[in-house]
Amino acid sequence: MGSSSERAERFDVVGWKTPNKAGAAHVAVKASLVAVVTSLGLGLFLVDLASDSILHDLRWRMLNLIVARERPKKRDTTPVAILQFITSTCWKTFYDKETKSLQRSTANENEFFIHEDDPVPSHFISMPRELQGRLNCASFNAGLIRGLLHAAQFPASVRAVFLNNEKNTATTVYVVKFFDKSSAN
Amino acid sequence: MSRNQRLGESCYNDLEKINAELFTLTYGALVAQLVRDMEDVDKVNAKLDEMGHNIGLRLIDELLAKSGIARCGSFRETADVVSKVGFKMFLNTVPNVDNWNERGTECTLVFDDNPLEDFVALPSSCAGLKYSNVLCGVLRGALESVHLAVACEIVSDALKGDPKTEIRMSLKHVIEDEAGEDYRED
Repeated sequence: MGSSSERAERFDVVGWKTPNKAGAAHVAVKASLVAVVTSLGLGLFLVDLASDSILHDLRWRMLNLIVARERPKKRDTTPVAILQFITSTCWKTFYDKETKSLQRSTANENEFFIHEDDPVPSHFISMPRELQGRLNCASFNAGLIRGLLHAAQFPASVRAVFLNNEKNTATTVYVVKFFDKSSAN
Repeated sequence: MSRNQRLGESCYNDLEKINAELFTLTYGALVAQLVRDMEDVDKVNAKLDEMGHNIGLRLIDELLAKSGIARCGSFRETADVVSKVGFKMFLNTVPNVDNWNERGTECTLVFDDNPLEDFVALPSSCAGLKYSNVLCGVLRGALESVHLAVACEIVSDALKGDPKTEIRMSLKHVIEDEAGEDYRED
């Protein structure tokens, strides 16, 4: 992990989009800019660290909370089902919106792509030139998905990457790669 | 309902929201990670304050832009806006403002419900941790941007057995408008 002073620098480095420039929707707590900055901090940790154990606990608890509330009749047992649960139910609970699409990779059976426009952790963040394209604040969401999958007994690795689409704006894609073929139990 | 209360409610309703539990647990995870990294509780407190300060510097823009609030005539008005509009908009909680000193420069914000502290229990190894210190930093940073130098301190913490979390806010002085350090002539 980077040293404390390195991290301290980084908290200052990343600035904010000004409201009129972005026309951004706002995150308030039951949303708060705090959450965004916080998640930025965690995003940096995620980028710097191999392990993101900090969010692991978080996601486990969130999953328990959500599952307890939704009370689905059956536990999800296929990767597709759990991903659909995450992209629709979980995302609706967290951010009140759904991700754009969920696709299976043609290259690899265990790999899935989740597209999202305008992920919430990236609101209000503007990147300094050095970090542009390298640091994706949506890594927070990637970690969230990873933890949810882990808590649901589907170990996987999740990365957040930028994808430039035709209009030359970047969509975020979460690349989900399940570790083994068999589903839970 | 006072004007500020109504303003706070309408601003809160208009803003996009995220799940409060997600926010609370994220903040908890952040603090836990800081404690693990820094090990020294005082450093964690200072770090939380610094983070809060950075947040406050930006949050004030958001507050002013969204609420369209006019200039405050006194520190009492400022405290009222902070609690009824600011905290309402961003945390959906309205702390009570009381315990004013004679000159009207110090007050206490009493939180009946502090969303940062839901589901939290402090272990004995973190007895000195000021869990909500980020709020102190936010207040300091935000008010600094509007030329009020305030000092904020958590005087009572619900996580440590006190009935409620309370933050003491004191106005030190009004910041004069002057050129930044780089531009001053020495």
